[in-house]
Order: sequence, then C-alpha cells, then structure tokens
Amino acid sequence: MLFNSIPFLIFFPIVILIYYILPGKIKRLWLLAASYFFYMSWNAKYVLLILFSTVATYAAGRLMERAKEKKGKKTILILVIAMNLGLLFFFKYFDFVLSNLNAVLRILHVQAVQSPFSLLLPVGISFYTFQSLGYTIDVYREKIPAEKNFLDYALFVSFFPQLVAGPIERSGSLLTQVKECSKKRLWTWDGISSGFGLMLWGFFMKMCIADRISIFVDAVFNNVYACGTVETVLGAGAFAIQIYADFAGYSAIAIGAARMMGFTLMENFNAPYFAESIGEFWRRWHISLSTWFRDYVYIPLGGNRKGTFRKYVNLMITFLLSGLWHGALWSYVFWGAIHGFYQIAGSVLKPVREKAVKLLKFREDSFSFHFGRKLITFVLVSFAWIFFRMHSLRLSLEYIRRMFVKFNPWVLVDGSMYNWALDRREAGILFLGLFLMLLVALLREYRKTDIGEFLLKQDLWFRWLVFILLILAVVVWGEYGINFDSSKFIYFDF
Amino acid sequence: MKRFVQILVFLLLAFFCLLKTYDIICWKDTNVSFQSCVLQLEETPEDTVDVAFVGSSHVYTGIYPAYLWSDYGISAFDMAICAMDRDSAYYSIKHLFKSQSPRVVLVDLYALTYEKHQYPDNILRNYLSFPLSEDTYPALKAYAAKDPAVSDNMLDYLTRWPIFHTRYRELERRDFVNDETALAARGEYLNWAANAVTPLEPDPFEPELGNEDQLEWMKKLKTICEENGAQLVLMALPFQTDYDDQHLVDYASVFAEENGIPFFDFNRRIDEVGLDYSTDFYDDSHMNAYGAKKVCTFFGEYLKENYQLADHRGDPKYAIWDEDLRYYSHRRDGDELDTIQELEPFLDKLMQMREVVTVISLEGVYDSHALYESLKVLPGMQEADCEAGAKWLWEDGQLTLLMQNDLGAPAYIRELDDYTTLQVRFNGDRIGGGNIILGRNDYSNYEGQLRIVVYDPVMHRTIAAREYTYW
Repeated sequence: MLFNSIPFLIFFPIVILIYYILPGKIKRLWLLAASYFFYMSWNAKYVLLILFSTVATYAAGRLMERAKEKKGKKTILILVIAMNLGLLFFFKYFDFVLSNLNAVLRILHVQAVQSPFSLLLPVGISFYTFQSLGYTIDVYREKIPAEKNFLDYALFVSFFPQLVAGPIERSGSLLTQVKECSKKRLWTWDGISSGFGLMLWGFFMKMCIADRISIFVDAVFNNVYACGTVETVLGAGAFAIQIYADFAGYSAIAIGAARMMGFTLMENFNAPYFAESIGEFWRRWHISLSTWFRDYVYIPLGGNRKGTFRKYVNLMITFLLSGLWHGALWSYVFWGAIHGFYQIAGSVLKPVREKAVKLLKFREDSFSFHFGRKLITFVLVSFAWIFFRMHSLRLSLEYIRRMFVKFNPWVLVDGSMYNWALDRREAGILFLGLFLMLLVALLREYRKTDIGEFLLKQDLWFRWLVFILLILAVVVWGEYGINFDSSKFIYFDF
Repeated sequence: MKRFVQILVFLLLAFFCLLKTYDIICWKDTNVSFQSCVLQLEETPEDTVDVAFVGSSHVYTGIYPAYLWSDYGISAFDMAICAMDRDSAYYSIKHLFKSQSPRVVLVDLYALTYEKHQYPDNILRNYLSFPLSEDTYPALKAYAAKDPAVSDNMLDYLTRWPIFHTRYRELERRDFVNDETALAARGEYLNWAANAVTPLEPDPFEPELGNEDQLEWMKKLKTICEENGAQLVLMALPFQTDYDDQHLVDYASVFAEENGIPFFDFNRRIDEVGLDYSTDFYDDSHMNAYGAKKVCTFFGEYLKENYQLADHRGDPKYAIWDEDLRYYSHRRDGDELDTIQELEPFLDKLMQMREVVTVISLEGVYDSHALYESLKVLPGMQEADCEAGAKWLWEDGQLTLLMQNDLGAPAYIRELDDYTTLQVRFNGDRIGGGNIILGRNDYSNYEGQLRIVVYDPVMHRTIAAREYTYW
C-alpha cells in the first residue's frame, strides 16, 4: 500500500478517524492492528519477519535488563544483533554474496553455485531492523529501560507512517510517545492542520516533482549513448533533485501522517542541498539514518577519539556500510566510498583550502562565497549520485566519460530538449514545482520551520487556499495512473 | 466544535473544487463530436426521445436525427459510441431508459462482431463517457472479463481520476464552458465527404448458430426493451462485410424471426434504399450525409407506417431538435461554401445563407469596374465605393459599408459571439496589414485585391476565406 495509492487514501482517513474517537488504551491496539494491516498489504507472509524481529529484540531487552553481569548482557546483545542482521543479510545480501562468489568461481573455472531460494526483499526490513537494533543497543547501554509492554513495543517497531522507509526512530522518542498516547490525548487540532499540510506537500514533491523529473532522468540514464555533455550534466543534477523530492516527499508524508495523530517523528531532511560541505550534507540528508550510523557504528568504532588515521578509517567504514545498507550492489558500496573519500579529502585538504581562500582574497561573509561552496557541494553530491543511479560501475564510468566527450551546448537553445523527455508544458510544470520546492527549502533554512508549521501560522484563507491548490495540483498534475509505473518511492527498495 | 465546523467547511470547499475540476478534466469524446452522446442525452428534456438508435460509429455516421426531425417530426436520438461492444450497448440502453421512454429502440448489430474486430481502447472511452451510477460497477466487471488491463486496474477505473487526469495536456476552451452546438447535437457525426467504396458480396448460405454470449445479449436487449415498453428493432447498417460478419448478421436474423423482432440488414437492401457505393459512403464502414439521408428516409417511412409516432415539430418541449437542425444546416452550408472556389457561385451561396457574418474588403490597385461587375449581385453595392476601395459587412441579406479605405476611418469592432471579436480597419494598402482580424487570426488581404471572409457565429468558426485578384 503505497502512500500515493487509492488504498492508502481510503485506509488513512479510516484509521485516524477511529483513532481520534477511541478511548486511550484501545488507541494503541488500534494503531498496532492498522500498522500490521498496512505491512501485510505488501506481502502478508513477511509479517512473520517483523514479528520475529519484534519478539527477538523485545525479549533481548527484557533479558538484558535482568542479566546481572555485563558479559551476559553482551552475549544477549551480540546474539540478537546477529539474529537480526542475519535475517537482513539473508533477504537482502544473500544473492549479492552468491553472485560475487560465483564471479570468483568463474575465474577459478569452478561450477557456479545455484541459489536454492527465490527471495523477494521484504519492504522496510532495513528500516525496522535498524530501529529495533537501535532500541536493543540503547537498552544495553542503559540509556533507556527495557520496555515491559510487548504491545507498546510492537507498535514502536511497526508504527505504520514510518514503517517502510523511516524515519528510523529512536526508542527514547517514539516509544515514549506510544506509551503516552494511552494516557493522554496526543493529537491536537493544530497538529491535524499542520500534519495535513505537510502530507499534501509530500504528495506534491513526490508526484508532481520527483515523478515528473524522473521521466527526464530515465531518458538520460537509460540512453547514455544518445546523450552529450548537456544531457548528462543536467541528468546528474536532475537525479539529485529527483531522489531528494522522492525521499523528502515520502518523509514529509510520513511525518505529516504521524503528526495528524499527535506523534512527532524526527526530521529526516534539512534543506540538504544548502549544505556547504559534504560533512554538513550528511547532517542534513536522511538524518535518521546518518545519526543512526554515527551513534551505533562510527562512535563505537572510536569516532574521532583515536587519532586522525583511525578517524579516517572509521569514516570510511561507516560510509561503506551506509552504501551497502542502501542496496546489495557494488555501485552502492562505491557511492558510499566516494562520500567517505570526500569527507577524508575535505579534512586533509582543509588547511590548503583555507590558504587558498586567503590567497585569493575570498570574502567569507559574502553571498557569493557561500553560494560557491553550496554549488561545489551540490556538484560533488550529484557526481556521486551517478553511481547510485546507474547500478553498474562500468556504466557509471561511461556516463561520466560522455560528460566530457560530446559537447553539445546547442541543445539548450534549439528546442530539441523539449522533443525528448519532457515537452514545454511538462517542463513548465516541473520548473514551477522546483521553484516552490526552493521556497520551502528557504523556509526551512531561514525560518527553521516546515511548510505545515508555517501554514499553521498563516490566516485561515491562505492556508486553505494552499491546501486546495496543492490537492488540485496533485490530482491533476501528479504522475500516477494506469500508464505510469515509476511511482514507487525509491527508498522502498532499500 | 468551532474546529470541527471549520474542517467540515474546508472539506466541502475542497470537494466543490474537485467537483468543478472533474467537470473540466473529465473525459469528453474529443475524437468525434467533442461531447459524447451521453452528455447530449443529459441535455435532452425527459421523455422526449421517441426513437433511439443504438450502436457504434455505423449509427452516428449513418443516422442523422435531423433528417427524421425535418422530414417526419420524429424525435430520434443516436445513442451511439465508438466501436460499441455488446455490454456498452446494453448499458447504453439501460442508461437511456433512466430519462427517456422511447417507443422504438433500433440496435445496430455490429456489436455482434466485437470479438473479431476488438477495440478495447474504445470500450474504455465508452465507459468513461457514462456518469457514475449503480451500473458502473457491473459494467466495469463486464469489461474486465474482456480486458485484463481493466481487471488489473479496477480501482483506477472505478475512481476514474487516475485515467483521465492527464487530460490537462489537451484541455481547450470547450472543456471549460459548455459548447451548445455539440450539446444540442442528437448523437450524429456530420460528414459530407464522399469516397467510392467497393462492396463485398455477402455470401448466401444457411445461417448457423452464433455463440451463447451473442444469443444471450439479444435476449437481454429484448427483455430490457419489453420491460420498458419499447419495441426492439435489430438492424445492420451497411458496412463492408466479409463472410464471418455476414454470418453473424444472418444468425441474428434467425433470432429476430423466431422472436418476432423487426430486422433490417442494409447490406441486403442496398438497391431498395437506393444507396450508391460511389457517393453515399465516407469509407468502407461508414456512410456520409448522403447515405444517411437515404437510410433515414427509409426509417422515416417505416416508423411512420408502423408506430404512429406524433409529429413534434413546433412543440417547444422539443426545441432541442430544432436547435440540432439549425446546427446541422449551418454545418452543411459552411461545408458546402468551403468547397466553392469561383466567386460567382460563392456569392450565390453566400446570399442564401443566414446567421453568418461576411467581411468584404478591397485593397491595393485593381480594375474597379471589373470588380464592381463581380460584386454587384450583392444588393446595395455601389461602383463608387468599389472605385475608392472599401470594406463592407454582408449579413442576412444586408450590405453595410463599414468604411472607405481612408487612413483616418475609425476601426469597426464587434463581438461576434462569446469566442470571437471582429476588428476591421484600414492601415494602408499593405500585405497582411492587420485589417481584418477575427479573434487572433489576421485575415487581411494578402495577395488578392478582393478579400471575403465568412464567419459563422452560431458554430463559432470561420467557414471560408477567399482572395480574388483583379488586375
């Protein structure tokens, strides 16, 4: 049940209306039932996986709390991590490992190993596995007490707005809210209004921007040999926008949906393309995942506490794992490696950079200086996205080669770009959408607020006008329907 | 409570906006007459249709209710949609009976051949033409049985938005405002183009049984007509039949005979009706206006003789049929005028036409006497004006001098209809000088010294623009 599907448009209002009127204690049960129904709508059989992960981490939490010795606690922790990551490995990386093994065997002229399984990646497994592991580690670290109520914990793991693609919540936040929801009314009228606005904006980002620009992106990435410098450069930038509009759009819907029920989910994006360095980009992009890796991988590895070299090693390990988390392909690993490299190079070259700034007399407080840094960061990030999008190292390199060998600036002025993927009308809608997205990003950057909260502070007529225009834009201009097949959220595959 | 009311008001407002957007963006039959016959039926006063013709393009190209109205006073309606399959035909009749009580329902049998010809896209177009009702789901289920594209996307088809929201790419003025000419039409598609076709000779053979579905369909038609007090008539309008098609039509004739249903196979009545393959067809499967005239005359006589239908001409309740006839005449005259190139017959035709606005413009250097000789058939034309150069308006037999070609003459501006403003002025004798502008189109003298532009405010279109040279 995709967010941008008719079943969800039926499911969600029913769930929240009943949620509003049910008494406190039953609210949780209702949300739990709704969340499991939501998950089972993808593939009913895989409910066993989430149930297993829930039971295992719940039991581990309780056992760790009772264990008197640290060694015992550690054993339980390692066991439960191994079990959860084992499941994740089996469903997500088994075929990947096998294909790599077969590649080696081929070189050795040994017969390939056939996979005995036909596996479909369970939706959201990477997200809920990490969420429940985060809880387990927090209990181990005694940051939070183990949850006693199994149903509350089950709801924490399966809460439907963020179940399939995050944000990956921390137990300290979401689990606390789950428990509170039976004691007091969490939802407010303002929350409904602001959450509704945020959801509409998310639908707009996903359906009007991401899915529209994806038509251009697909045309470029699927026809590299028909493209020259202009198309490949624009294509890389366009994919950067697509993946942002897609995932930030999804996150806005998830956060908005939770907000309508009175739950606060963590922000997942903070105007990432306004970042002035790769490090800052990762503090603004997919925040719930990058902080997860920071808290549960980078810092336990030693972080920056064990000298510069170890810091670089830790950074690289973290980004390689982050790449692998996104998918079982070498191109994702390579994408992670590029970001690790960016960070290390940025750190190593910092003195050189500072010297150059002084030498060239750049004004560090000027708009142009900050704009230049943002632009460079965007270019670096977009470059790395090529490997992410291409799914093949060889094709990624070919794509990059085409950027430099087929210089064709005339396509920008002879109108031929419009005869290809998006005509003038579609491009016009896209540019309007991009302009609005820029406005909302500026709102985020300078007012430190999201569009839902911003609209809440406006007069009623303006809020309603924006709501209605967004609804109409989505239902008319949104990319959906029978002939449209790219409406799946990109991050659902991770 | 205040917040609750606010939400309710917002939901109502949003619903209203969506409803208005739906009206604009919803499916309209843009391939044929822009408005589907379903919308035209909605415009029709209740219980006014006496005779309904049901079927595919064979019906809307072969039956012009305007003929039956002008010659017999019969209020007929074409419940016809592209490549109508059997389910669409059944639900069309069902829909028809919701607002009308026709005495006779004539169903074309081309639907029997659906399995052979198969136009799944048209089926969906037809489905989208119908308003949502209790029949929507059963109709959709019937379509789904034929087309996996439907069965796989039932929700999309039920809610419809996912299918036609992309129409924002093709919206035009008529999507936003009612097009009265299209809505007043009675389901027909007017076409005067003639192309010679070669008929296939039907094979004489003993009809065999068709399949169960086909038989069941005819039984359902009979039942629904009987339940609603209408006489069912089966017919096969002429089309290029082959052995298989004719087989099915003959099969239906047996059913008709067994059940006492009147039956007309026009492929076997070509001579009786007087159809001419060289003049009465547009293509192998469709008649044109000339063929339609002959078939309608045949049916007019048949209906008059057998059903004692009232002559409704002059009854204000049936004014929409007068409107249809009016639009038919405008279309016919416009099309005819457009085919005339020579000035003399062009002016002759123009003088017969009413409710059209004609601008006549003289510019440049010309033989004014010769020009006057050509134009003097128009009552009120003065040679002195021809010598000076001038611009006139010809309208309903009246010639009005708008201006002589004087640079100081004020421009003549007039709203011709809701769509188009006419501007006539004299900017000097230069080619394409912005002297005659209709809407956004410049019809100024370009090559010739005499320019004639004819606009039909009833049909909202420029029907002819001619230039003549008089050196």
